[in-house]
Amino acid sequence: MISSFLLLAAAQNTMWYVLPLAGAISLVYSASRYELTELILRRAGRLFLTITGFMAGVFVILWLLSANL
Amino acid sequence: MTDPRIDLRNPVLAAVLAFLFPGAGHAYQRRYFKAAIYSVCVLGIYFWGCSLGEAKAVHFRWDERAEDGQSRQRTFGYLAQVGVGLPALPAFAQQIRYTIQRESEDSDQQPGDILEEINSEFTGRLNHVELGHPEITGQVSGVIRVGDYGYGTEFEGTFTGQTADGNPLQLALLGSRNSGSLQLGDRITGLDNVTMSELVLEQQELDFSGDRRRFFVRVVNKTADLGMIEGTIPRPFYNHYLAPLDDESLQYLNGKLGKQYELALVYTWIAGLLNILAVWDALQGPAYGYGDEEPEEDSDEKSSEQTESADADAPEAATAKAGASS
Repeated sequence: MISSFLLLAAAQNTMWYVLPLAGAISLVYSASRYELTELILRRAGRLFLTITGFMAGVFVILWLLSANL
Repeated sequence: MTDPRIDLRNPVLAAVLAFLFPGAGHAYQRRYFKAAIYSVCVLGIYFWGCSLGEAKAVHFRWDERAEDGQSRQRTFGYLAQVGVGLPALPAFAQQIRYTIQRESEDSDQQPGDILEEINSEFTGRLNHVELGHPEITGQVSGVIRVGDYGYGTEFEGTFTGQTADGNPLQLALLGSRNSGSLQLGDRITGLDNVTMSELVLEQQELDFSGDRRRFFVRVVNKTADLGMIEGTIPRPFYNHYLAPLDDESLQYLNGKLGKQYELALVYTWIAGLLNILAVWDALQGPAYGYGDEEPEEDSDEKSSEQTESADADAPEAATAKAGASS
């Protein structure tokens, strides 16, 4: 169990790098779709939450599946 | 059709500017908010990736065939990185220079050849034994000059400097390039093994450097071998910046940085790919329109799909609908 938490902690360090990447992708993608500033920011925020939420979900599923390994 | 409220000015020029420097094309079109987004996001991600990879994540190598003892390298990732434009383009020029250097070595030059006269600062170690003089072994620094002797493969040179404890030192260098008495690191390379292999213990860790070039030469007096001098000379910035890496250097980087190097590659790839969206935006305007279009109840199917796509949550769905509408 302890080793499992250690692995999780190590993985989390790397996973923080996804946040700026997801933020940049969201902003650039949304900016290339629309012209209105407010709409760009709103859509970028929503896309950022979608990406990070999806990745967090996959992370939790994989973590649960590997809990007893 | 681009919204008439968006002045794309000269779209082709804007697209070229957007490619060369992220955000520049939109600044030219006076779309300053977008210019800020593109430049900060694309360049921020790109340079963060470069930093994670210790400035060695962006390089381009495209071997036509495998070299002796090395695998054929083709850095497909650079095709994504080059989307960033000017910050990544020097790697393309360095690949051309690197290939020319390798081909000249393969054709009529010998390993360790002097491609140009060397006259530069040197730091390293000396193992010098001369009859009638005390043995000098240890750190030395000074100026080294080596050039072609003018006959066949022979070279000559001098070392002028001082030992670690301040004693002045002057040595004559003379030898033949084919005999291995002169060994130089690559003139153009991103990273090179500069480990002083001749004078150090076997257990010493490998030492790699981009801005230093390995230099080894035997110290002779006519026919007598008097010792060796081994160290590094500076490699100019333009000979290592974004230059290709060989197998050994890549293995060293992966071993040293581990996952961090892979992150660096991913960051720089994505930065280049994101800028393609920016270039297209400069050329054609925003893909889904201005963003404040009113839904038209009595219009045809095309208009209703465009409206729905603006409200769609997932960009994938929006992309599909926009594609269907066009």
